[in-house]
Amino acid sequence: MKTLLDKIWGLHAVCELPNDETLLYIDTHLIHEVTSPQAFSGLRDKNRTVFRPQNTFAVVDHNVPTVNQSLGIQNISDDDSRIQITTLESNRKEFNIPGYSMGDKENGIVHIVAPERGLTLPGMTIVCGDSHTSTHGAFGALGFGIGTTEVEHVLATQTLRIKKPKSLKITLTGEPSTWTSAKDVALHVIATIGASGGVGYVIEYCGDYITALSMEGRMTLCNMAIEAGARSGMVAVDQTTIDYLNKTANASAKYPLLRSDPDAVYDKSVVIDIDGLEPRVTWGTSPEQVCGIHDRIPALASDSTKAEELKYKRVLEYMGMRSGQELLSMTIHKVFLGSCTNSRIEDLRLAASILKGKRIKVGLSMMVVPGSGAVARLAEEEGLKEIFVKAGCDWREPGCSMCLAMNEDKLLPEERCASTSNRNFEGRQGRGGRTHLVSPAVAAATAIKGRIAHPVEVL
Amino acid sequence: MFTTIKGSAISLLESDINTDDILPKQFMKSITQKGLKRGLFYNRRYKQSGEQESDSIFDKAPYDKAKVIVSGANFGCGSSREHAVWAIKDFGVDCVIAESFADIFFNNAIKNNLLLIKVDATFLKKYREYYQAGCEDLTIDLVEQTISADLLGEHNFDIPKYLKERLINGLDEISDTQSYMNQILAYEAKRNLN
Repeated sequence: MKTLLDKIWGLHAVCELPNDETLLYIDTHLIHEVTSPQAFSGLRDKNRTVFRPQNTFAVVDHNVPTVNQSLGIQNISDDDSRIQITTLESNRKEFNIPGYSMGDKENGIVHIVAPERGLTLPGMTIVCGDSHTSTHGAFGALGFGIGTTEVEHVLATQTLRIKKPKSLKITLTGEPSTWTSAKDVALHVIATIGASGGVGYVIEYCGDYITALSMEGRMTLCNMAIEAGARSGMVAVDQTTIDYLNKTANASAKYPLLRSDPDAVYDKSVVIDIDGLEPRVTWGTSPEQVCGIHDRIPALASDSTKAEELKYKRVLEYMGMRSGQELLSMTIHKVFLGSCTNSRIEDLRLAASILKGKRIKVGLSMMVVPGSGAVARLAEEEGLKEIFVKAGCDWREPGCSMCLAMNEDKLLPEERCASTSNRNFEGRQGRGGRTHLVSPAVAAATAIKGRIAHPVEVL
Repeated sequence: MFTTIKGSAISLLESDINTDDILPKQFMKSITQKGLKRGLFYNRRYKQSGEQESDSIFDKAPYDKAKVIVSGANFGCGSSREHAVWAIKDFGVDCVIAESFADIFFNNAIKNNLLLIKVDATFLKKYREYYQAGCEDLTIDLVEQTISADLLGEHNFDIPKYLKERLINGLDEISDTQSYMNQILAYEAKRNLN
């Protein structure tokens, strides 16, 4: 009768609080340089300490440059970035917190590094001051993003005070087309239920598509649950999970096949047909503004309110597009392959398979930012780096990079980017920059053509 | 901690206002919570050159002293940055009224004594007429749970009891949780942790 969420919740409830909240035990607390400094200051102000430092793990990712990391923190030219990274280093020392520093060969994006290092395991509760912590749900874990005050609370008590979210079962039926990846399915789900469709819920993804999906694909799908408003996405544990863990975490450990009971009751269930689904591309400034790669920019719905009409016009003006325009006609200036959504080895392999022996369009630049040191090493060993470099791509060092453009990697005003990241918000990749969210395969094909392109066009 | 909020309201009657919009990333490089008001809705207030937009509602009286923001559905979606809440508070706003709120933003607001009031489309329709008529002042009574203004009338809102008490009395959450330390240790022992 229990859902996967019920089971994990039950296993971590320390006690119920008088106000409908549960005191929830946190197994893994991931931290990074941007959302942790005020939490440590808060501890210090009240003479508190970190209760379970060994359950906390730090990386630097949001602010790091993606070139010359080996030159060290003192060589970061941006003062604020350097101070933030230095602050995390000193906080780690003061409170005895394990983790990776900038330039460490294992460092990378928090949501890529944790699963690689066996910090993300089935049945765990995992939190981080980052909304894409939903990613870890791919392992049959409950992972969700928290704010800095909550970071401080977890540091001090290893628990969170939280109301149990509702459960939303999303069953994906049918088989998408050959070039459609988990990223496209994620965008389709968001378009179907809306950017606020998952508010208050944890999504559990089910169906044959999920069973057949790789761990990398499951991570991509769960990663974008937050773009549908759900704090977390999750997938049941199966042999695919176990096989992945045997390679990355601890091969001798026994992991339970944690899953929802067959008769489990969800608060809400949705069935989404993905049969024959073609790759998706966002056209606007919300991840729900999605269409098929062969589609045209949709017209304003006839029943729209005045406010919706104004917003629609503003979006098209910002994006420099007009209603009815063909997506495939959009000239692209930059391509970004990276982020916690799509910078795993599988993503790089797919993009490299398309770019192999080809050149990116003259005048276009493509940045490839592997998600972690481990991904970068593997890509080099497999010859992927060479393929990217020969194709004319800019091969970078691990970090969040142009997903949120906190470092030097950003779009200029009116530059149009095909990006494998997760947010197309106004200004997200640089003020005035125009983002189209795409899969790694579409990103690669687009780089070759210089406009949004379907992979079949370049093969 | 407060019981009544009285002042001007800034109306941003659109849905899905995200935290990148509320506070762009360059303001997240701070290591303190203070001084973020300049970054609040920065890209709506300042041109690329840094020059202030002439029609920035945030920077003209009486809105520059606004106490309330009114918005549509899914306010605060996207990034988990609590900096967005700190910026709203730093600007002087104590209450956001919206059709719905994103989950992480909601939690962040609670922790910082930012009152969030969920209203329905009927209220927003009435409110739209109110502000289109050039009105901007609102009074929020947390004890009576009402939003009111002369030309808008009085509207009740719901708020969970524990949130209301917390806003009125304040709460040191970590201290309170530490009073459960025996349960936390017993839980760890049961699972053979630590």
